[in-house]
Amino acid sequence: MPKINVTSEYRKGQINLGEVWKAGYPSEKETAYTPFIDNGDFEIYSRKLELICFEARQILSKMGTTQMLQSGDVIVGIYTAAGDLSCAVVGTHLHVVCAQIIIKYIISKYQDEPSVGIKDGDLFFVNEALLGGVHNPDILMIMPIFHDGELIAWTAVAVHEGDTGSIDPGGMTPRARTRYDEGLHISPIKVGENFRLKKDIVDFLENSVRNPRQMTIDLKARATSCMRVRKRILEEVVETKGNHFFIGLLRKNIDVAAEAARNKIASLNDGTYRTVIFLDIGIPKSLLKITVTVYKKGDEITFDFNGTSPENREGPWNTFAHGIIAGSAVYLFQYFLFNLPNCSGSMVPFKYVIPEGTLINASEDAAVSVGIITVGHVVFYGIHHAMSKMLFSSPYRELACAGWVIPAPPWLYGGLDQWGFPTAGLCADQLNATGLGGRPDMDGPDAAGFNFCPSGIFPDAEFQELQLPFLYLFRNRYMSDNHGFGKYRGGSGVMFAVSPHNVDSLFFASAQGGQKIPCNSGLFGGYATITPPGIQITASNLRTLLANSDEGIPYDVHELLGEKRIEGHYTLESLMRLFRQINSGDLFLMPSPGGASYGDVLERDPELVMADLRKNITTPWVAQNVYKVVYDPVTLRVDREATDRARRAERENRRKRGKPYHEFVKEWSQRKPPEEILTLYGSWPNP
Amino acid sequence: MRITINVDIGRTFTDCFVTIDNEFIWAKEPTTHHNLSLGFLQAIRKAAEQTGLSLGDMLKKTAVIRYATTLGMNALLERSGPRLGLITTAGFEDTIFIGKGSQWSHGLPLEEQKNIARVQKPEPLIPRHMTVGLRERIDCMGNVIIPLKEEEIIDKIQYLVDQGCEGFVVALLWSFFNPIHEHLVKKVIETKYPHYFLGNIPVVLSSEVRPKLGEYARTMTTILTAYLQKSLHEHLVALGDDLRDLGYKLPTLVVHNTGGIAKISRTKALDTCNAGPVAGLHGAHYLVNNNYDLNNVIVADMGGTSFDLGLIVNRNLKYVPFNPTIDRWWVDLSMIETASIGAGGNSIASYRADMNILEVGPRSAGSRPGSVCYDQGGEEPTVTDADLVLGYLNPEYYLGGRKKLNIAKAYQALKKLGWEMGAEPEELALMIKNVIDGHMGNEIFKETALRGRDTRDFVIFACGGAGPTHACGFAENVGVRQIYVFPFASVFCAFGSSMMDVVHIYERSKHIILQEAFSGQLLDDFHEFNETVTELQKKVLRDIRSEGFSEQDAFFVLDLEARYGTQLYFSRFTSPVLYINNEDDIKKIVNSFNRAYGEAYDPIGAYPEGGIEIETFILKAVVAMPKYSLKKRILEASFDAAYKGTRKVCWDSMGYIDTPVYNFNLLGSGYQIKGPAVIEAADTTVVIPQSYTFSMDELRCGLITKNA
Repeated sequence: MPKINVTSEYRKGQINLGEVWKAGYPSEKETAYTPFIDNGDFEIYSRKLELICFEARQILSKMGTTQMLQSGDVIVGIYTAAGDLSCAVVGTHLHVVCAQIIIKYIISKYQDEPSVGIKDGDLFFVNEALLGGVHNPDILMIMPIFHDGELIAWTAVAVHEGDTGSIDPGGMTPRARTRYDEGLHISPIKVGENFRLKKDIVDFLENSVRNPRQMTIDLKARATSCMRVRKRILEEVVETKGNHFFIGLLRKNIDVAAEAARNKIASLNDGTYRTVIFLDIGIPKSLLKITVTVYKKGDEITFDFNGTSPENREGPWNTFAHGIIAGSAVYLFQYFLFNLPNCSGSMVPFKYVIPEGTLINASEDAAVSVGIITVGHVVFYGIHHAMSKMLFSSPYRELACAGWVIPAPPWLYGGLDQWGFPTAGLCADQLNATGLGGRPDMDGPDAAGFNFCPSGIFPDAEFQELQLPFLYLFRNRYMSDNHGFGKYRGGSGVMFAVSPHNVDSLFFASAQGGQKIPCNSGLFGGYATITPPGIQITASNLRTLLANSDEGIPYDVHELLGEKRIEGHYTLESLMRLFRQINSGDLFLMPSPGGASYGDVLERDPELVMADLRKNITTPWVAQNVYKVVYDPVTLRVDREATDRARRAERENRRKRGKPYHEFVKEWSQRKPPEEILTLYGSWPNP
Repeated sequence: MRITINVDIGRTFTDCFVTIDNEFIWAKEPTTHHNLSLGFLQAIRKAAEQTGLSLGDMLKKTAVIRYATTLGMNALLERSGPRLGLITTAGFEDTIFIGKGSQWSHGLPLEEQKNIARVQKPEPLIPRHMTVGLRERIDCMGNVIIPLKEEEIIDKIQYLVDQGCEGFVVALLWSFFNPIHEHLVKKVIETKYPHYFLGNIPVVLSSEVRPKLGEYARTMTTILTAYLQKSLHEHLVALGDDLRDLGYKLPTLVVHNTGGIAKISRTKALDTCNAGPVAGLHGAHYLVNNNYDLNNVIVADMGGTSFDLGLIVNRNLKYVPFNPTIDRWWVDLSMIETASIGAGGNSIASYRADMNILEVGPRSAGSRPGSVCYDQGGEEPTVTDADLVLGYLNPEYYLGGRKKLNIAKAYQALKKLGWEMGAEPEELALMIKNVIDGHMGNEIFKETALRGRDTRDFVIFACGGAGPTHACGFAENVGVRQIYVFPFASVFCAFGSSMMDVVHIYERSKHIILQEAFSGQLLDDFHEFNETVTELQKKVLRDIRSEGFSEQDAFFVLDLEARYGTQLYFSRFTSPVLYINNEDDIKKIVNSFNRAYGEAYDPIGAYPEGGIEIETFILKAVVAMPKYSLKKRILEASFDAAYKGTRKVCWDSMGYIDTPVYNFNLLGSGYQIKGPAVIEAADTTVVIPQSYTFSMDELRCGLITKNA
């Protein structure tokens, strides 16, 4: 067990991530007990562990209140006594990986510390991003599991909280410049002892945030979930099969997964695969670069992020290295390793090169609250994209998909609700209706969820309007052309318009980049997703239009901006929007974009284009000008011959526009963005 | 003579359970999927033969026919419903297509949800171009924000009519709170498009079908109601005609998944989905409340392709607490909770090389080709093949000898798979048995754990053809020590139907703050609460009277769904009072909620300081039907009569040993058989491992007990 002090080592820049986030060597007991678990028992009881986590996750969802429970930004994990992840049900894979770092920190720091110690019935609360959290709103509760006085395992439960007492509501503040703007930073602290929550600590936490009721309800939900995992493990596994069996089982899960992951990697072609992404950030207007290079050799894969822009102090879009490592699990367990256990063993064959001083390996006092969902998102997309290139020529071609959407923008709110209580948080709506990327043989599903947490739920509008002082003008409606076009298009997303309702006003913000340059390029010729702007209309006559049931009421963004029949002040800006007051009758719009696409638009079956026209997912303009389909606009009957001619003509045009590669490079290399947007970029072209 | 006929149509067999005063008989016939009535009539004809009566005579003497049918489900799977049009609020037209985002996962097992690269949303029941949005809006307080104009309705209706619409589903936002706009739509349709113009096109309103919060599940429930109603209604009416022609003049009562029965005219198609397993659960409910002193029961039905499961907790049935799902659709129904996984006699065993593990199910060989030993072309070994090679099954006495099993082919199939895994066929067979028992045990664990219960507080009722064969195996996995095998185990669901009462349930959302946050102030205006109960009671009484009962025949139960503060989900509990008359009544409700919440989760989770809000009222009325009693049937027979000899059977720790075999039907009451032993009945085989003892009780139920 490596002795670590993550904070100080991190602050010194000396943390050895390689020893912390992945499984360590087996203990003597683990080595002794693992061989005695036969294949039948292994399958039965490893699944039982998963069901234990599943039950705890259900409890968390049923008891909790934060919006992000609906988004699935939640985990329940079971860890070995040394803190290695053995089994989890997610949610998002981010936190199950990160929790290992925290558990190892608790062991090394407090196990032998007489004033703290680790005892049966302890419940640790932690949200410190430096210690393995991703950003402050992600609050974990961690509980040791003892049997006959011996520490045999840990459980961790996490969910994103609505507020952290940061300088703006919602905990993810675009205004943050250092960690000290981001609210609570709680290193592991006992919020419970002897299986009870401590009133003084709960009061302190309530007192530190804008929505105390939510903090308390969610604390209780986490505590109940932890205790249920403990109870089930002891009663259903340890008492039935014995302490030794359980310890061996946790380790066997890890060992079997490690071997399976290595075998899977070994079946791929060796090679180097690269994806480069440019991300524009609205405040200040600037360009960033993220480079992902994947080296595959033998049974190992290395992710190398050299060539990524430097850390900056102009906003909260930095991340720590462990967040990037954990975030790679988001891709790996959704796609490449989907059928392997969610455990540290599956990640053993992966290595990471994350240069210090970059956006994604920031220094200790950097602001990071928005980083994981902006830059982090882009990094994960890059991993996905590069891995898909690798998987194309492999036994797993069906996994070579275009990526989920980026950016899925966080939408933050704060104020008083319609019942008179303070409210603040991150809305689940826009995150959970993004489209999946196109696939080798089919479109990405429309509005499929949230890429960090696919199992999340797009909440009912009625529930949201009961819970929050909102009136949606439109919401459950696909936004036409809001996805990448291709042979197999990305899933469509939605865009919705909301107005404060039954209150005078609310405060809204959103935090995302990627409004000038699409950063989720398609795969193998597919188009990227569009880049939606941030839109709002203030001082409007909306209330009058509604009361009169006016025909000019718009029901999607095309009608809204195309005809502008709502009178008022229109603002189109970046999605990096600082908090502003939105009055009842004003409109604030949020996109939930679609996925990127797979393959050439000219290879798309024209009948699929017509089907999309019927569903309002594609506009006639795109059908005619992008897909080059010729059809009867009334019956939507395709003229096959005319379509073939139009497509042949387009291919000919492409050939005319084309250039030899060296000519393109020569010309392209001369071009450079304006200096004023390169202030955060690093040196051009390679940071 | 009082006869009741109770029929349950399953995937493979149509089961019929007939009571004649306090006697009973049963029959099984293949399900006729092309015309369910044929199998229905054939099953009761077979039963009539056992009574010595002609079918007509038996029907003439029959007091009631209860019927559990899967027809509603079939129409859904075949997508054979009418062409519907959906009328919803403008700006929300894609509600059912977005499907809460995660629709691709709804109704799928956990394992199938993991491969994101292959997930797909189900084909919608209404295509997008058959959906229109109306310019209208009501808010969360029930206020009209955008008034609905008649001309807007006319335009949209005309569009749908032009598209060939055969039925209108109307689901507007917040209509459950204020249905004024949905009513207007219906009025306009009926006024502008009267019967002589459109014919009998139904208009189904979400505010009438399911007046509850949450537009997705409410809309889907309304769509499914409209989609399935026609085929079910036609089938039931035709069946009623056939039965009348044969001499049965009384109403046929249909089994509902709510746990009751009702006349055809009071049956919505959605009420019938999954009614069979619910009936089985109800049978268990009757037994624990009348014949056996048991609080908690797991009803485990293992058939050819699936393992169906239901729970009795504290002698009560439970409703689905979390996103009830029919096929691939989340709905909003008070369904009795059952679960099902792909684990049965025909589940296929295969080897997963990358993880070096044996997988059993959910893939199934089905009834065709079936297990390898059926000799019908199957090549992959199954659970039944393993059971046969292990000696549990008698190749000459499967289905009472009506089907011969080919043990040599089963052995060869196991040998082939075993070669891949480096295991001997016998060793592999035992592993298959243990893995499938483990899966079923895990499913039992999941269903009990998700209710916050401990499996060791339960007994198991083993049902289905393969249930008694594997019951000790899955019981062992979850620490259950007692298993019951009833003589009618193979037709348990039909038996359960025979014990069902008339039940009507009405629900509606109504947001009422019972206790204010922080101040603790209790509700002081009881009017809204009582008015809501009164409204539901009126609807229930209307149904009860229409079935020929009076208010005095019924008893009422009020369930509420409530939450602390701003929780995302509501928890259901039974209210101790029907109406609120004073503050004490409110305190009783508050205490009941806190207690139920603490039991379901943990007392640490209760948070009354955060306020308590009621969201849903659910009123249930029950009219008890006459029941027959299971009477003692003491069989005095010599032990030798039941003894059939020995055969080699494989037991976990002992390998193959000579094991005694008995005939279930000839075992005398009070006899005890210590394991290892095998007991054969015509339609099932009971396997008793070494650490268990079997005894036959006076109701001819076999009780298997784990030795101390």
